Amino acid sequence: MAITGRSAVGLPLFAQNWRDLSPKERYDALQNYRQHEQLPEDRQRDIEKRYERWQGMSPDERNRVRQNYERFRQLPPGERERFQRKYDKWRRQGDAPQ
Amino acid sequence: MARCHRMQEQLTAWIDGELSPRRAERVRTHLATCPCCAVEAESLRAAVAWQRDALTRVVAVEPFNATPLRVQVQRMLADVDALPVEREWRWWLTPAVLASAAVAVGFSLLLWVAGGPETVLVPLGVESPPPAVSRQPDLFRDYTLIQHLDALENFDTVEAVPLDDDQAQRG
Repeated sequence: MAITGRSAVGLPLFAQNWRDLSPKERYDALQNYRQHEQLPEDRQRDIEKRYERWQGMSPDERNRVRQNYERFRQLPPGERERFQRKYDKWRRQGDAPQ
Repeated sequence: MARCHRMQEQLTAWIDGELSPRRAERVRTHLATCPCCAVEAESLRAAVAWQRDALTRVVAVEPFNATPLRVQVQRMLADVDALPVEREWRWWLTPAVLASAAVAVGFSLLLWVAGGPETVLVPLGVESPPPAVSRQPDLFRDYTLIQHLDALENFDTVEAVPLDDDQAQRG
C-alpha cells in the first residue's frame, strides 16, 4: 500500500481525548476509521500491532518517525514511487521487522 | 366724521331691519347725503345677501346618502383582502428566506458530498464518534503514519536500498 493520506506531522504527540482533536483532525480520524474497517481482519490486526509499537515508542522516537514522514511527503512524486519500490524490495529481503 | 362712524355701526342692524323706524329713517337720510357711507352700506348689503344665499343652500342640502359610498368602500376592502393571496406565494422571495434556503441546500449538499450527516456532525462534536475511535483517537489521527511505521522507522535504511534500474544505469 502506497504511503499516501493525511499529514500527521506537527500534531501534538499525545491526543489524550477525542475532544482534544480539532474538527479537521476528527474528520480525518473518522475517514481513517472507515478505511480501517474496510481492511481484511489480518491487515487490521497488523496495523493494531504497529499501533502498540507506536505507543511503546519514546517521544524522541516518535518525533523521528514524524520527521521521516515529513521527508517522505516532501519527495517529488517519482521519488515517492521509487521509495515505495525500495521499501517493497527491503521487505522481500526479509530485513523488515515482523 | 363722528356721525358717519355712528351710522356705520348701525348699518348691519339697518340692513337686517332691526332698527326702530325713527333710527332707520335717520340712517336713510344720512346715506342719501353721504356717498362714502352709501358705498359702505351697499357693500355691506351685498355681503349680507351672499351670506344669506349661502346659508340657504347649506340648509337646503338633502341628508347625505352614505350607502353608495359604503358599498364602494366595502368592495375596495374586499379587494384588499384578496391581496395577501398574492403575497402568500411571494413570501419566500424575501432575502432572509432565500438566504435560509441557500444555507439549508448548501448544508444538505455538504452532507451529501461528505458522505452523510455523521461525517459532518461527528467532527463538529454534535455526535459521538464510533467507540473504536473514541477509545483510540491517536490510532486514527496518526493512521497513515502508523500504517507505514516500518518504512518510516527505517527511512534511511530503505532509502539506501539499491534498485535494479539504478544498477542498470551504472552499468
